[in-house]
Amino acid sequence: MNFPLLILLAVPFLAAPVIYPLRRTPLAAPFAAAIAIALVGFLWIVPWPIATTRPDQATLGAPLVLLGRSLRLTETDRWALSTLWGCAALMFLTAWPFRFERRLYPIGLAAGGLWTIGLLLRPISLGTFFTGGAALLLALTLLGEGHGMEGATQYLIAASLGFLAWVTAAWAAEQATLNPGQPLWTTLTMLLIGMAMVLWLGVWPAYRWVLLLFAEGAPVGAAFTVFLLNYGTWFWLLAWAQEFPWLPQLPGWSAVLQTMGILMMLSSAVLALAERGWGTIGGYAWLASSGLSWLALGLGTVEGIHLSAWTLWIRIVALLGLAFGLAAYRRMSGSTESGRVPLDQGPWVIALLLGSGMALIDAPPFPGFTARWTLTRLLLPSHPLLSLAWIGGAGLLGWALLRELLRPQGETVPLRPMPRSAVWFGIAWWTAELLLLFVSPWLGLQLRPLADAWIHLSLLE
Amino acid sequence: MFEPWNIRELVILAVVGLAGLVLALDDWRGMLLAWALMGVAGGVLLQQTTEVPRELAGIQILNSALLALLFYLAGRRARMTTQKTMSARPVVHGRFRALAALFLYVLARMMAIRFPLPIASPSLLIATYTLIGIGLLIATLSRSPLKAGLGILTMLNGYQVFYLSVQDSLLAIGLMAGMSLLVAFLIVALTMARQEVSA
Repeated sequence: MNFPLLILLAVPFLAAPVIYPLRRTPLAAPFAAAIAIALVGFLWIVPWPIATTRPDQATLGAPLVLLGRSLRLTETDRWALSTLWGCAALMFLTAWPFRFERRLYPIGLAAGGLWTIGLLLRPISLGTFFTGGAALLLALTLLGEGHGMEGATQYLIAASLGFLAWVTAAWAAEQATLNPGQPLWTTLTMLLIGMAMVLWLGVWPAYRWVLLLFAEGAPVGAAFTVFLLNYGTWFWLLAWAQEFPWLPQLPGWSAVLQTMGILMMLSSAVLALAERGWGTIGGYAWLASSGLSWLALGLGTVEGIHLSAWTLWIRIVALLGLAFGLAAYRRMSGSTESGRVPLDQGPWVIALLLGSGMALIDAPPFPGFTARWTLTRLLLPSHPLLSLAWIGGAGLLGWALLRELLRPQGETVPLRPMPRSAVWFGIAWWTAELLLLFVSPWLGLQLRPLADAWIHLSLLE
Repeated sequence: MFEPWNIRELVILAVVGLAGLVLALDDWRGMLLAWALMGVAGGVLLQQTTEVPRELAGIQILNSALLALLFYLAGRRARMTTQKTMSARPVVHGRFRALAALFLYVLARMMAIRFPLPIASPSLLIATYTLIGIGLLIATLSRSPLKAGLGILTMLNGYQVFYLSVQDSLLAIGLMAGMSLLVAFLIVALTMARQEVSA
């Protein structure tokens, strides 16, 4: 029995009911963050003996067998789980000063635990139920005092449909493995994976829930939801490609990822022009930012895959800043609509929103600019118009952000003062985030093993 | 009196008709009753299918009845505080929605013939496609979490008709039932949260 792996899987579920009664106290956030950091530490401190179950894949420790199914941890999974839990710890700390985010801690731990099981469980068709369960459970983190329900309801619809698409895709992939040479199953698998990703990542036309979450949901809960779905799907797709090695070799694979990335980047830039409000524009900025990552992955080249893995770290810091800024803005004015908090009354909030938004759309001097620039240089010779379009897309989103800043204050609303401790925490967080943004390129380099796992699968060179 | 094939066709028509009622009705109690009956008819349909063990069909019927009871209690509690939540003016008229249900049924029949799956029965595919389509329409047209939730569960019911007939693993079938319960729990939580906000 692989006890360390059992502990790794059980701890989030054991911690969640302990944190639940504490959720209204200031203890909950640091406790949840400590659990998440402890999980990352546990992954690296435990001396996992290398075991080889399949000739092409070594696992860390023997697989854990539960109900006749095996859960196995590989080197790639260790990196994926470290990223997931490390980012989750930062999210919990971000939610610390805000009472309306109290559901995030227990639900976030439980959802992270379910996603962990989903990533490690084989066959993958059963893992789908756990990742689906995690995605559905996240709907609870979006609720809070005074928050609208429409975003959460729309999210639930998208998550349920996406789950059904994943389950059917897993079934079709198993059929394709059992019946090689029948194109029906491979086509069906690819089609369903594409549909599932469109629904879970908020790709146009199924994008509306992302904006509603940022505009009217609990902001850090919304950030946690889009983070887990986006990053989790990145790792989840890697698990699929490892389980079904024929999948990345399909002609539609790259096309689906590239189309998704382009749609996310361009549609969000165009649609943002017709919208108002920090929350909504922030949602569009997130969509554009994650679109770049998927496009880079879809290129299927060594540079593209490295770039996609590298941007994982860059984006999380900007997302955290956006979530914190939106939560502070909402705490002060009761809404994320623009013009509610004037620049002179909440300069650090506005600076955080603007800075994070600019970081998400990869404006210089933020490190994401290097990613956008590299991708543009990669694609300029073959797709000049497209390259120009997404440089222009970033410009449109930047304009939308600046317009929010310059928007004159409408009706005067009495602002709820932020506690002094929260303001200091915000300023400290802002400073730490700025530092993180500048060191993230080096942190991102540590994710190289994840990129290597993709490259190994694609047999590129 | 009836051939087995005919009985199955009749049950499919009953399932689709009841799903159409869930879509067309405005009153939440009527919707819920039609949904519960649709779940029972879905169970009967599974009993007619040789690929599915009879016990599972029975569990499906029980599951639908329990979920309907849970929703009724949640709906009643929400209605006591907010009259507006449950009886909001519908976005699309009932007759158009009934017509949409009929259209979806015809579309599902065409799809089952045009895109058959080798190991799935065409008649079950018709029921699956129709219920998923109708469920999606209910979910997208509804404003209240309870009605949208009934749409999501209609989609899940439709999918289960297909999944139970092609899946051998009891663990997978159990997990699918668990997902339905999770969705139901989330819908009740959303309904209650909305009630808190409105109050």
